[in-house]
Amino acid sequence: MFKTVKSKILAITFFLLALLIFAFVCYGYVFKIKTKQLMLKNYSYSINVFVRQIKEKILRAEDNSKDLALVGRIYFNTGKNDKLIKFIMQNLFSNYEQSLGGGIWFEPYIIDKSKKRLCFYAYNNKNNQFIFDNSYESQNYDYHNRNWYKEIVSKITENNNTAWSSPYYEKQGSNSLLITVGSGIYENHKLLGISTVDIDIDSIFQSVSMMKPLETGFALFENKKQINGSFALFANIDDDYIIVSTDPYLHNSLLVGKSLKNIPWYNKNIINTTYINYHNKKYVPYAKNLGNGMILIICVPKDEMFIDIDKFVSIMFFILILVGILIPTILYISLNKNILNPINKLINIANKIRNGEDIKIKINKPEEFAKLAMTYDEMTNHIKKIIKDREKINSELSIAKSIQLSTLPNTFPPFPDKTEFDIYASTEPAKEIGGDFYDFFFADDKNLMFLIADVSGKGIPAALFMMTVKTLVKNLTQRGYHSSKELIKIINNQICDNNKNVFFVTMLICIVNIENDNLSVINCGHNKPLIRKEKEGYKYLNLSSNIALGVLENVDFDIYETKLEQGDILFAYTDGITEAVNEKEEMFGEQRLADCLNNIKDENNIYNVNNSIKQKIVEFTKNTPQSDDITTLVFKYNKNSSERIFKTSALIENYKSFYTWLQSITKHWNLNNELKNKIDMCAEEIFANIIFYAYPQETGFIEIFISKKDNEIILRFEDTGIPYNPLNHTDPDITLPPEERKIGGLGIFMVKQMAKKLIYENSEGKNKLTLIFDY
Amino acid sequence: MDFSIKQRGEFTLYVTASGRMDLDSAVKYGTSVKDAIYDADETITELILDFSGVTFISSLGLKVVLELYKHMKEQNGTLTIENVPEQIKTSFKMVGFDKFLTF
Repeated sequence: MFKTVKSKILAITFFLLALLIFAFVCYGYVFKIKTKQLMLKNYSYSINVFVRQIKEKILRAEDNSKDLALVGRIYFNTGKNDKLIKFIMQNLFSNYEQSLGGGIWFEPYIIDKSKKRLCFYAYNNKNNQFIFDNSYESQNYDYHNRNWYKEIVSKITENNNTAWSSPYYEKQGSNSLLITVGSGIYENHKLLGISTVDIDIDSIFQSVSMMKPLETGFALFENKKQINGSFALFANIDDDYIIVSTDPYLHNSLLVGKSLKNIPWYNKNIINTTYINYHNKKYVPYAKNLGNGMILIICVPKDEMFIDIDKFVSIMFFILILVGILIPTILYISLNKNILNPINKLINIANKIRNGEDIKIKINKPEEFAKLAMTYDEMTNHIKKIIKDREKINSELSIAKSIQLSTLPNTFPPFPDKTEFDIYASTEPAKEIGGDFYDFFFADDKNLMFLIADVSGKGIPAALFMMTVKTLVKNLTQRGYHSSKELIKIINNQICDNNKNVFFVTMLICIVNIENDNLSVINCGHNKPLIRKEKEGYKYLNLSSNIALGVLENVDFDIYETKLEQGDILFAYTDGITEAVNEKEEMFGEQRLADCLNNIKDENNIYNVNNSIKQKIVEFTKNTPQSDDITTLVFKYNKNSSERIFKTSALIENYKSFYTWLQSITKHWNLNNELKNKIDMCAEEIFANIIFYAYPQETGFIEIFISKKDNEIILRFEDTGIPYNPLNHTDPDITLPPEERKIGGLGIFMVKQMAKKLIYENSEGKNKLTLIFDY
Repeated sequence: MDFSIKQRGEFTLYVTASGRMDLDSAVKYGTSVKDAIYDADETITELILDFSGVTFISSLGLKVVLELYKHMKEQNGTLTIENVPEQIKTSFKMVGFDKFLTF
C-alpha cells in the first residue's frame, strides 16, 4: 500500500496532521467548555452586580421613604413648622439621587381641620435640585384618590412599614413610568399620613445599561433597545404584578401592573430553572429575589451568549482544515518537484541507458540529486568502460579457447596410413576455458603414444599450463624415445621445473608398440581406463596409480604392461564423465560408465562408442549445467584387420583430408591405377551428394568404411541425413546432343557404371550406401 | 589443382590445368574460366582447355566441362580440349562426351 516514498511521506504527514488536528480539536473543545464556563460565571457575576445595584436602589428608596415618614412625624409633633420641614426635606433629598421625587402626604384634616389635603412634594428638576410643588394639594389632583396612595395605604401596617405601588404613569410632573415606595406616618398607632419616594423605572434600567461588564458581553439596554436578544422582567411576585418587561414578543407597555400570568415563559420556580424554551430559542434565566417581594429576571439567549466563542471556534476549525489541506498540498508539490521528478528523471535515463542509448545525465537542482546524477554518470561511464574491457576480454577468451581446442588433434583418423589401430578423442569444454586435453603421436616409427590429462584448476592459468605440458610431453617424447620409465621421469621433472604456480596434472599415458602388440600404461593420478576384450566386455584396467605430474621431483613411476589383441578397445576419460551430476545431485560414477559401455550396440565402431557415452551423459545430466570438461579417448587395436573408418563433418572443406585418407589406403593396398581411379571417382560423387543434399539444415557427419575382403573392395558411406536412395535416380540419356543434356545426374550414372554392385539400405536412422568393386 | 588462364590473340582463351579436378577444385576452375570469358575485351570465340597435367576428373569436373561447352556454344564459339590423358578419356567416353567434344 505504501510502497513509494511519496505515499509514505504523505501518509506520515497525514498521520501527523491528524494528530495535530485531533490535539487542536481537543484543545478547542476544552477551550470552548472552559470559556463557556468562564463566561457563564462572568454573566452570573455581572447580573449579580446589576441586581445588587437595583436592590440597593430599591432599599435606599425604602430607607428614604422611612426617613421622610419620620420627618412627617416630627412635623406633626413640633408645631407644624412648614419652613423646617421643607428645610429638612431638601437636605434629605440632596442624597436621593436616584429618585424622581418624593413627598409627605397627610390623611384628610389631620393637621389642619380646615384643610383636607396637606402635602409636601418636591421633584428632581434633573439638575439635582429639588423643587417643591404645591399643585398636588389641589382639588384636581386629589391625591387621596390616587391609586398609588390608596395602594400604599392599604398595604402598610405599623409593623411592616414600607409598601410599593404598582407602576403608573404620572402625567403631572415627570410624566414617566413610576413606581412609588411609601411608609406610613404613625402616631400612637394612628396613621397620620404617608411618605413616598418615586423611582423612574426606565432610569433603573438605564442605569443598568451604563454598566458594561464585558466589551461585547453583557449590556441589556443600549439606547433603550435590547441587544443580543436578552430581555428582562421586573415584577412583584408577592402582589403579582409586572413592573417592567422588555420581552420582545409582548406588548410590554400594556403589561405594566398586570398579573405575571401574562408572561408565557414565567413560572414560580424560575429561580431554579436552567433553561427556558421560548419562541424556539433557548434562554438562560437569571432570576434574583430582591427580598421585598420583587424579582428581577434577565433572560439571555443561550446561542447569543456564546455566539462569539462559537464563532471563534468555527474560525479556528476552518483555519485548521485549511492548514490541513494546504500542508499536504504544498508537501505534495514540493515532493514532486524536489524528489520525485529528479528520481523519475534518473529512472528514465537509467532505462534509456539500459536500452543502449548514450546519454549524459544532467540534473542541476536540488543539490543532492545533482550530486547523485553526477555519480550516476560517472558510474555509467565506468560500467561502459568495464563492459567494453570485458567484451574485449571475453572475445579474447573465446579466441583463446578456440586456439586451445585447435591445438588438440581433431582430424580423424589422424594417421590414415596406419591401419593397425583406430583412435578417436573428443573434448567438451565446460563454459570456462579449461584444463583437459588429449594427444597422440608416434614416439618413433613403431611406438604410438596417446594420452589424456586433466590440469588442476580452471581458467587462463590452467589453460596456459596445459599448453606447456602438452608441448613438453610431445617434444620430450619425440626427442628420442628409449624407455617409458625414463621418459616419464624426465617429463615429471620438467613439469616440476616449469611449475611455479603449483599446478599439477593427472595424466594417463599409453604407449603401443604396433609391431609386438605391447601396451604400456602409466597412470599419473588419473582415472583408470577401461579395456574391452572381445569375450569379456569392458573392465576397469587394474593398474596402480602414481603421483600426479608436477607434484614431486625425481619420483619413480610404476608402469603397467600388457599385450593387446586384435579388436581390443581401450576407453580413457577425464573425471568430467564420472563426476557429471544430475538434478538429484547424483554422480554418473564408474559403475554406470562401465554399464553404458557394455550396452553399446555397434561396439566395434569407436566413433559410435565415443558418441554413445557422450549421449548417455547428456541424458543423465539433462538440464544441469556442465561444470567440468568432458574428455574421452577411444583406442581400438586392429592389428592386421583391413577395415578402415573415416568420420568427418559433412563439409566441403573436409573432402581433401578424406581423399588423402582414401588414397593412402588404396596405395597401401597396392591397387592398380584404374581401380584406384574408379574408387576415387565414386567416393567423390557419393561424398559430394551427402554434403550437398543430406543435411539441408544442421550439418551432420559422414562415416566412410573401407575394407578388403577376398577379391572385393567394399566401400560404405553412412550418414544420418534425410533418407535418400540414389539408386532410384533415373539415368541420364548420354546419347543426346549436349544442348539437350541436363547438367546434373551424371555422377550417379557414372557410379553405377563403375561399381560392380551397389546396395542401399536405410537402418538405425542412417542412409547406408555400399559400393563393391572387383579387386 | 593448379590452373592458369591466358589469352591468345583477341578471341582465344587458353587454360592449362594440372592435378585433380574434383569437389575441391572443379567449381573454382569453372567459375575462374567463366569470369575470364566475361572479363575479356572482345567476345571469346575459342576456348582451349589443356588437360595435360590433369590426373583425375570427377563427375563434378565433367559437369563443369559440360557447362563450359554450353556456355561457348551460346556465344557461337568452340571448346577444344587438348592433351587429354588416357584415364580422363575413359571418363569422358563413359558419359558420352566423346560424341560432341574434340580431344
